[in-house]
Amino acid sequence: MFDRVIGKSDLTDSLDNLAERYRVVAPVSEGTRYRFAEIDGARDLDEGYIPTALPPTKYLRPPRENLITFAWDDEIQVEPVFDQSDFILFGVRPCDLHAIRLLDEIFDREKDDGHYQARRLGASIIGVECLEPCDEHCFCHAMGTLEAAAGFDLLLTDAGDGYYVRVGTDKGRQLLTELSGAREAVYEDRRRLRKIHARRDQAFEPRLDVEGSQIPALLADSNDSLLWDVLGEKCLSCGACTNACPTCFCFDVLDDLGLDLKSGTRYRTWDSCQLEEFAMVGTGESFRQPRDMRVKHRFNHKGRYLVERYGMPGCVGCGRCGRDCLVGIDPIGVFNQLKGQPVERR
Amino acid sequence: MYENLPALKKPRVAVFELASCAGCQLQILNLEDELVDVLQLIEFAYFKEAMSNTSEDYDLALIEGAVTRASDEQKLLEIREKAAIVGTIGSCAYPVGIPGLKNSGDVEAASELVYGAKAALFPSVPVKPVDAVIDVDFHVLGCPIEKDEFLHTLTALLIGKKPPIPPYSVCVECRMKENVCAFDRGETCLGAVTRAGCGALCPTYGSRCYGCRGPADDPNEPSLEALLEKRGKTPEQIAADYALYNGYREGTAGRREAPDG
Repeated sequence: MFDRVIGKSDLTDSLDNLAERYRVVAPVSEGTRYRFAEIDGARDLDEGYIPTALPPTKYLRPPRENLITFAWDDEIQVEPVFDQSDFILFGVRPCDLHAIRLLDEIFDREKDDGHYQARRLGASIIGVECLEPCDEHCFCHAMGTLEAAAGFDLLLTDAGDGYYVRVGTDKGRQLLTELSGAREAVYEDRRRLRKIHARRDQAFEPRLDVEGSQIPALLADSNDSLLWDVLGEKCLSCGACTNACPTCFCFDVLDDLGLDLKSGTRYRTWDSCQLEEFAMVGTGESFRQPRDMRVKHRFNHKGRYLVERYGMPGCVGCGRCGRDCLVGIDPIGVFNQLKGQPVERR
Repeated sequence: MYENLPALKKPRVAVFELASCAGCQLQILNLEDELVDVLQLIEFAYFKEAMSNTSEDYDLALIEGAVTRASDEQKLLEIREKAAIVGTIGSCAYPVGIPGLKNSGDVEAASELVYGAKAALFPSVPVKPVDAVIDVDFHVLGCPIEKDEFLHTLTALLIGKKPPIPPYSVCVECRMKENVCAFDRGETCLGAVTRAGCGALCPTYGSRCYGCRGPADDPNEPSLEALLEKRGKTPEQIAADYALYNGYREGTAGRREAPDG
């Protein structure tokens, strides 16, 4: 009863109005790449976007995030830093919505991370469904993340002359008042949506030789696969995969000391299991130093450990890591090779 | 490196120059907003680029430039003797930078090219980075050095902490900035094997990484080299690419290990 239908030009006008009054971030194109950035109006938006260079989760956990400021004279003063500013995150794809659900589970429900929670509270998330595969790297269909069940306040589906609008939260319900020209959806609209979804499901060809639900078992059986050695030799340890991953959440905590040597900022910055220092301990030993072990850990963390721990996909099939990897380490190829013939060492 | 460094309290700092363009010394002077604060923390004893007073009494020596003459080595040994802590600033001092290009060919021919008939007056040796001659406690990397990194190194030394030099490659910072990868623009890049800390400055402004900060702790060079060959680079081009800044490590003097720490 809350669902709406809004014409395309009405949505454009609504976005223009929103951008005038709020901070709106949405996908923009930059040559061959897309990224989420602040927009001044609907004209800045590029609707044909495939997964952006960095995921929209960068607004919930920025690459560098201040945690506290500190100072001491006679006594020590510590002030936490929370960014609670409101903004609208427009155009989030279902794969990324699933990633946001996982981050919520970790930083909100499990860890009670106030810095994440502040940003999350400030965010109004408007998702846009995918009706066809974005390119050869994505495999959301196999991971069960093509369908967005939650993680959005509003979810838009392109219905030709307009958008079908679904409401995910109370915040989304309130956002409806910002959609000028929208009308309440009726039976005919809902029937049309079902047809769109049926067509969509046909459009996504299977790309994995293994069922998404079987990936944890496949990885558990592949501990001794020679494929890890092959990938370890290729991997540049450049962190492109983990930076691009919408579900990666590891960070390092560092201090920025002022020139007075008495005050500064403690911040966190993205860390990566693909980097040698990641698993290094205080005495200098690293318990995951060889490159093949690091690669194997990444696939196991995404495909197995997170699934076992949180009961939701740790890899959402967005394809960013495969798209960005300079040496062609693509999860589609990795899962299919593990499923197929044993790999001979080069 | 970085171990058992003595605690410094308003140290006397000497800045020395070997073969270089003096640009890294200028970077220190370019700290216009911070210099007053910096001078609360340290005192310059010797800094020819900045002042005419000189003193041989110093605790911390900063060395810019590469070793290109036998007399440079003698100078470095003296500095190491006097200073409690020795650091390098800039690519010429480590990994060897532009002066290292001399190692790509015949040293005598290079002398003649520059000095002509008077080459004999300027005896020249194959180029070395500073840490090939003396122990070095830390490097401030880059061509030129990053101002912020210089300040962070200074504050770390003053509180007895390890200077914050990233162990990983430039790609890590470049991807965080959502730059279009040089390889995706049809170019090639050394960012995957080069130490970060510059914020991927060159790729961010449309260029690509030339490796001025030397190797990361854990570079996968064979994999990058296979990729470069796949993208049509000849072995000669790849060697020349490395030689621009890493001519000591990659050049006639042979490979050497990356600095530890």
